[in-house]
Amino acid sequence: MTDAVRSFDVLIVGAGPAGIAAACAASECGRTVGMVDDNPTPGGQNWRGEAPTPNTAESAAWYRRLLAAEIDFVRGASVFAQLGSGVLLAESADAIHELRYAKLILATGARERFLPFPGWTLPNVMGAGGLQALVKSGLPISGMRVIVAGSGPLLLAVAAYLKKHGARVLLIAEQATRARLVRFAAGLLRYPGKLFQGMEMRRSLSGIPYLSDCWTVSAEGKDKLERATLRQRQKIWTLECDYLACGFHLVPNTELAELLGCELREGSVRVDEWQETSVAGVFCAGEPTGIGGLELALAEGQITGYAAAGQPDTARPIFSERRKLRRFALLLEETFRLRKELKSLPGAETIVCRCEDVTFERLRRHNSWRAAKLETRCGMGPCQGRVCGAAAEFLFGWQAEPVRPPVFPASVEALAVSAPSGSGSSIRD
Amino acid sequence: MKEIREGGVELDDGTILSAGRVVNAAGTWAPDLTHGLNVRKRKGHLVITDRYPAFLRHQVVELGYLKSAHSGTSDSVAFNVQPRKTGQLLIGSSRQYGAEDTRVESGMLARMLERACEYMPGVAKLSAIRSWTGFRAATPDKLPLIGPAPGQQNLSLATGHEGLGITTSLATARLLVDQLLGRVSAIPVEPYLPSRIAPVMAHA
Amino acid sequence: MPETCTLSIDGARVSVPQGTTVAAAVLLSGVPGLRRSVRGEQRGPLCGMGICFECRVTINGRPHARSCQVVCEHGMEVRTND
Repeated sequence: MTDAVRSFDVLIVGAGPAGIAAACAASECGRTVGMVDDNPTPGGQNWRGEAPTPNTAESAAWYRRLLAAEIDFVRGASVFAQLGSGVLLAESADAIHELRYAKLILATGARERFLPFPGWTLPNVMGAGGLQALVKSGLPISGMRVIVAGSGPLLLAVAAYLKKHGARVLLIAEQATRARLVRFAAGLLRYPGKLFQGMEMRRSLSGIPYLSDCWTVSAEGKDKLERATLRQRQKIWTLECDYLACGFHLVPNTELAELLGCELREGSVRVDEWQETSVAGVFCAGEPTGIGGLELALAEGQITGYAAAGQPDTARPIFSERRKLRRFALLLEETFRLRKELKSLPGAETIVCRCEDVTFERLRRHNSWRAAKLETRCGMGPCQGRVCGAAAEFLFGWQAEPVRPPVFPASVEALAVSAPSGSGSSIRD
Repeated sequence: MKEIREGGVELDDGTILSAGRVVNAAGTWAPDLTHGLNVRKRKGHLVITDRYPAFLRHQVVELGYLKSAHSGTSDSVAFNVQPRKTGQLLIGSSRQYGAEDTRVESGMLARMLERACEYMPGVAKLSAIRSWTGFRAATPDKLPLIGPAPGQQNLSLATGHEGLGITTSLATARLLVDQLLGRVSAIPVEPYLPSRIAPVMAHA
Repeated sequence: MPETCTLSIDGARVSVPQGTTVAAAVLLSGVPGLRRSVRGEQRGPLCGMGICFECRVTINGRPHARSCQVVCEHGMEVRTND
């Protein structure tokens, strides 16, 4: 039995920028719109915590638009299963939600890719976005020595944010080669908006070394992080630090799309020009269709909102912007591709599956995800391979197995919800 | 495995292994190798929770479990909860005929878990992290097939144990070996002889 | 002056600004980590966005709560490493 049943013309899973843009668009077309997110406030990762006080003119405008649109926001709720056609189930701390829809928009965003290296499981080693999220949620960072490492433009945004909040960012270590980064900078010339952002960021990061061909070799400390060892080409050195913010670019969150039967292509959800997936009535916008950044998410979100609301002509004018931004997404992918040296980062005893404490040495004896899972329990913990799966794919080339419900852990009683409310009595023996 | 034939088996890479006697113990896939074998797939769902070490010390099963296991036709669920070494709770059980794919079916899962919550309300708030399915090998009269395959020279069967395959594997082996060596078994073998069910079976 | 919220972390009373998540509150209260791994290693938050499950603590008697997704509430009882 569910605690709350809601029906919408358009239901949006994910309240990050793409979801917010879609919600505004659909609502402005006169549709009833619901949004569900497991965070307490809208904003996703990019605009985390900005609902009360937006950081940029852009996010402020979108939040104003969202408020005006009067959207039903189901907060702190994880979507974990499909109850039937047109009905999703979500669970929050105190309720089970039945969410009915005519059209569904998946705006489930992306997560960081973590690669294991010795010491990465020490407290105070976090993702780059991870540390930023913690600071946004109240972790004091003023005066703390932070190393930002890994790959991707996120590192720069994180370093700038941390510095702005008083952290001593010691350096940024980017695994991409210098040549690739130079090409990326040149490529930015075609995107004046991004070039401007880049220059602003460069200014705010002045004084912080940005090292290419550089990565963390190990993190060390007794009960928590005390220092990190870095490598840049032939040079290896150790720095004392309080936090290591380390993430290797992003991986799309496609699990719900997969559960619903949407086709993927190279790890991203395949959509047509209206952002509709291979499942009729299910749309997808933002990072799950391909990692492309904030502006692309906003463009795709709008197109999706209009399309799902049945007003595709309003979406057409945004197509050219989307096309341009998708080229930028390709540039991102090219630049921040992981180099093969990173495959030798983990030592034999380095933990790869953090939920079940499975070491690299135990995993590499196997030749498939399935075999490794059965013997070592890798991927069988609560994260269901969201952390170790991406690492295993990079380290061994293993493909993950099909998704099964629950997409996120849910209480037994939530999973026991058997029939949509009002459709008749539950089945009994 | 590609096929069983007279005097041995052929693997799918073309390798031939010869043997005086072959034992088909392929469970739900036994009929793929021995046509006419009346062994059907009986799909079951399972759910496992996160770790709760102090929650339960021993397996708990409802008496209706037997009724469910012995039903010949319908889909059924029965309460069955087992603590694992890790402190996770393994929750079952369900049985279906006619379901040939491994997909997790939300409806069956829900029925099974609803039953679990009825018998053990404390389970309701536990965090369920994973579900999966498996197939049991079921025969028409619910007893396993242990012994020579009718109409076949040198082929024995050891299959159709439904949900008790692991539990009765050792006893099955003893019965089979006794037959192969022409010994009298400690218990009657007639109830398990494949000839009771089908007169003749054929190689695939 | 921002409003504060008082909760109990492993028996100790801790006051944090309104809007602080439980994960951040635990760390700023000086507790070194949030949970013990299956091998007994101390772990802290990793992803900050609810997908890694390293930040699990017991909140008001309910285990396995993802503390990076929960905002502190007055009177909350949090237990770590259990």
